[in-house]
Amino acid sequence: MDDFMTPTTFKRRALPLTFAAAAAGTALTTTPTLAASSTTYKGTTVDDRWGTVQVSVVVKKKKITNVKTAYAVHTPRSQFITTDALPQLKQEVLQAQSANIQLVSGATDVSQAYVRSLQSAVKKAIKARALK
Amino acid sequence: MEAPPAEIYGPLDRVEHIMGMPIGIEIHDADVDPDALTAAFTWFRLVDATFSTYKADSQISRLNRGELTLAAADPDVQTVLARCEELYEETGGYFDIRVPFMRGVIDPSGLVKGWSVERAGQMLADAGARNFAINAGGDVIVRGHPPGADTWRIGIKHPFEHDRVAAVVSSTGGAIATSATYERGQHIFDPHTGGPPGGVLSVTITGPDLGTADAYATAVFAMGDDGPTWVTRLSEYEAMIILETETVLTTAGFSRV
Repeated sequence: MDDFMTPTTFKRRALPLTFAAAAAGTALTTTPTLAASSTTYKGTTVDDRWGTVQVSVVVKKKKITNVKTAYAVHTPRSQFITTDALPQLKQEVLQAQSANIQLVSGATDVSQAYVRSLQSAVKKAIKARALK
Repeated sequence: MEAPPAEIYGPLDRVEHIMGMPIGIEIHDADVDPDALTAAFTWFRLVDATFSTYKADSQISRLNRGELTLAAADPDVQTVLARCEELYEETGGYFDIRVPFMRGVIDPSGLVKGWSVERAGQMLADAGARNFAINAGGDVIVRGHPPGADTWRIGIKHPFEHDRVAAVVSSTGGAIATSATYERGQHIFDPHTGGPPGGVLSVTITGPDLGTADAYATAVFAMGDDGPTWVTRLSEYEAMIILETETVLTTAGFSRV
């Protein structure tokens, strides 16, 4: 489930990837005994100029314990850009326990897409009552 | 590089690539006609056609070749260039649209981006939008608030720690512009020396107008060591300056605009 997409197998707008996570989230609300284990909520895939980003939040006991990023690039040139922009904001999310930043000033395309995907992942976790 | 098609997240939420950067507009008022969003992007394409230094038939290219006089130029071109002149004076020559070492050639794109975003914001407000954000390549205006929160929260990119933001600014109506070395290489020059400025990694300016904030950010970046003193003179604008020594200098009102 958490495999990063690789550039070689990547296809644009691979939206079905998010469906399984949504289903897992729904199951969690009806079986609260599972709350002690961690559940991953995947954000929607968001395209930017160089590729597609998908952010997932890992939630355990109503806390975000990790933030994971999958990035698939359109062009070889992007690999230079993406590797250093990818984990941006991870530390902020873990500290604030939410995606409470809507925009990034001074940022590349990659981090804007990151924020959008992250927001949808957190929204999904809240909807599943795994987060407040 | 071929630009991708528009990224559409909803009828009132879209990103398009214009003027060589992603421009995102999100409106959170369901009663606003989606045509207002389309009109705003049409405006940005018109701005690009008028002001781009990369398009041979733009008014700026024609001015630069001497084929067009300022008096005969579009009123918007006259407005922008007059404002550039004011900002040149105000910043002691550090905001300078004259291209180094190219006599008579100007590039006003340092003001055009923010100025055109403010105009787009006014168009959206006139169409009834109260809660929206426009993000043009990392320069941002916001109005109202996003769904589920009292204010917009805008992270400021950290110059080298990519899992952090350097600061967060809250706003219910204002502009945030950042100039730094990490985007598109070293693209800011000290107009007095023609070389890259020293000492500063990034400058963020917040305030009421994005064009002005962006021009100030460019100027303060170019000022290098003199930037921090200069920003304390500003009344309606606040600043955060990150120095190469990893010192972060912030004016008192920076975190809220």
